[in-house]
Amino acid sequence: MDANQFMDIFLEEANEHLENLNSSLLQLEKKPQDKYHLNEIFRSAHTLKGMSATMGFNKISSLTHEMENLLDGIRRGDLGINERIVDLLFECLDALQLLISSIANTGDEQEFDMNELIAKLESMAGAGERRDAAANTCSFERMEFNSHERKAIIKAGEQGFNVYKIEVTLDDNCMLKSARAFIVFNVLEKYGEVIKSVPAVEDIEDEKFGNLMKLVLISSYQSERIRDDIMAVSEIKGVAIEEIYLAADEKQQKEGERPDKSQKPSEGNTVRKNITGKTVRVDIDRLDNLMNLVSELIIIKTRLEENLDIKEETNANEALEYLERITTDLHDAVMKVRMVPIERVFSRFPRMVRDLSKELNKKIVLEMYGEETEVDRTVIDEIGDPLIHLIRNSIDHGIEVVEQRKKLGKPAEGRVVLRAYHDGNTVVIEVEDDGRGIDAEKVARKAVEKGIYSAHQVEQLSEEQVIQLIFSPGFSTASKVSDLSGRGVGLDVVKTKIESLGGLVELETKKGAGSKFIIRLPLTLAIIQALLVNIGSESYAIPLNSTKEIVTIEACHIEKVQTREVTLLRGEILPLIRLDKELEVQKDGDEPEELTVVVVRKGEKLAGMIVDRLIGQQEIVIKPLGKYLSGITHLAGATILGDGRVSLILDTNSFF
Amino acid sequence: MAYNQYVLFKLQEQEYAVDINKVKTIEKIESITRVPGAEDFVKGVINLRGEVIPVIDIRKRLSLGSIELNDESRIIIVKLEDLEVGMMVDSASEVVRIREEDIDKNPDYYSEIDECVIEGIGKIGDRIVVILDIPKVLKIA
Repeated sequence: MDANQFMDIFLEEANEHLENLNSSLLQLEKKPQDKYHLNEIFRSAHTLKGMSATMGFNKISSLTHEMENLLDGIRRGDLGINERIVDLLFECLDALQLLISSIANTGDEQEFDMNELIAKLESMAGAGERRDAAANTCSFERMEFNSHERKAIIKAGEQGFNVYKIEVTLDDNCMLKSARAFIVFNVLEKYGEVIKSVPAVEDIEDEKFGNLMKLVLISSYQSERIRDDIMAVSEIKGVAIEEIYLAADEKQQKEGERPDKSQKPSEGNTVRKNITGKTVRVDIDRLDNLMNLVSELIIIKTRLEENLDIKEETNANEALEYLERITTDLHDAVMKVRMVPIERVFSRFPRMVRDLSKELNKKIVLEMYGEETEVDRTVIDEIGDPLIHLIRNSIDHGIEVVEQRKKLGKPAEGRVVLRAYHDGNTVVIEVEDDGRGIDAEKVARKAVEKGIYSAHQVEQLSEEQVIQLIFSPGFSTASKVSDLSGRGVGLDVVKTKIESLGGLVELETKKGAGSKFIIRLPLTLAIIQALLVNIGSESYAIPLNSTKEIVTIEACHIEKVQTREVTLLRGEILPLIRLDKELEVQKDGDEPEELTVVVVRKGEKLAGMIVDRLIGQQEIVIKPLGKYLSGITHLAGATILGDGRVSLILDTNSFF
Repeated sequence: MAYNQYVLFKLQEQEYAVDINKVKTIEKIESITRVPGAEDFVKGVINLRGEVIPVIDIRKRLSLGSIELNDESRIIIVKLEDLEVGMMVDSASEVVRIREEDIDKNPDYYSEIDECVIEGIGKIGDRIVVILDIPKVLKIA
């Protein structure tokens, strides 16, 4: 069997388990008594062990094996959870992440030495075992249900189905255990749905189990009949069947159990079929391909529309309208498929905040809201780094140390709030802290020190404008350069990044009370509404979301302030940009008396772009200009017009 | 006998050759959109079946002056790993085989173009063709 073809699946699943480990560990740290998270950790470690052993990654499997031993000790109650154990488990998680990413990059895990970590795990687990001998614990078997399973069981009960727990013991001499198990499953499936199996189906398939299988079956048949049928399978030693009731209000995730005689508890694992019943794993390339095809369809639709403008055929127009509706729906549908919850990005933050607060000796709670907010994958890939930066910034520069907070009468624990929500066609992400806020005076002083502005210039700025200075290149207010944010990467990088994605960063701050960074991003970066304009004989697209309005001005109303041309728009000064000059468009003829100006905005700032003619508003598909033409200013990409020609998309932010 | 296949094109009576393994297609020119701010030898971008592909003006790149687009003009689309770039040429004439021993890799040959973009000089009978080093022509190497 060629392992390579399974590599992608392995990596993807491994990463999912790492994520699960991470979030469960964080939960466990908060609620050490909660067995649920412990079981989740155990389950992920166990699955990772199995997966990596199959793929021949022995370091991962031996590391996870030791983790399992330690976790098992905790589960049996031999070991109490303490900070050292949690830290060690986090250390294991980091090591696993390292190994997995090394496998992803090089296909190999050889370069890392896990012996030290394994030794630590062994000694930690060993500490528990010695206690174990003395305590002589009697293990009780519990069957744990996750919320999904609980719901299924409760619902089945409400609908009048019976829920059975079935214990099947195979004959000691049974040769093909998994084959027998398979037959048992087949028998049960005639009667209803198997919603859970311990050990997990995969383990049963791999014969990784003793002689006992525990299954939960939802069925409308009588238990005797089911038992007789299972007993009819050969090499079955015994069948115990018992009905389960779960009340809807039962908080505890366990059922009444009796002492188990034959086996150690094995972890609960959902039947895979049940989790993935209604979802399909699709290679992202296929989705991209689908998206490209839809884009092509939109292009051809636009082309049809343009051609039909000339002829006025009602039938054709009707058909076209219908086509328009379908393409729009199709586009929405494909977009939805590509949407992923922002949780993907958020999930790495709790760990980061935990580590940072330990490192900086600050107490911080991270609150996250709206993790389920869906955004296009193109956005997800890009916003991780800017968010990391903002959160680090809040923790490093915003939140004060504990003593200082106490002195100020603030709660000892600093709060960092991460919030995501939809607002019209944009997604808003906020990073808020209740730290010291931004000190305008300090910013002003720093700006002068760094030579960004002269003292005189700074004096003329409003407080708000001064605070905006923290976004200027080369600015950093941290008086002490820490390992975290003061790496010479400033907030200007965040701002540039967000703006290059067609988004905005705003900042609200109150000295002493905290700051809030607000990021606004378009839902997708693939298809946008744009205004098509002519400059000379060339056509360009201006993204509509940065367009404020279109006005006509008279040439005689243009005035010069220093070297810049400006005009007055409703009493406000509007700087003008001559696109033909900026884009080196060759043009002949005199300047007309009336000029068409597209007013674009960047944050609070406005500018007027002088164009020669408006073509109209259109939905355009953004195509990258590609590596070969990367780094060209003023251009955000290209699009293909209905007639097949390429039109360039202007990066309006670059003109400010 | 080892030989390679090359696509030939002509610029001012001199024949030039591109390794056929690097050529994806040869296209007729429909319309080229100028890209402001790009290097001067970049003619612009074209729509190649839904993809936006940059096109360079090979004459300008080799400092051979420029001529107007005409019916004979072609774009040779070259593909280097994941990069696709078109090269606008006066005309693309034929595909030829050149034996390895007929290629002089270190030519002591006077050429009117910048020598560093030349990979070698090939002989086909009494014809002499200049084999171009594409990454260097594109200025990516």
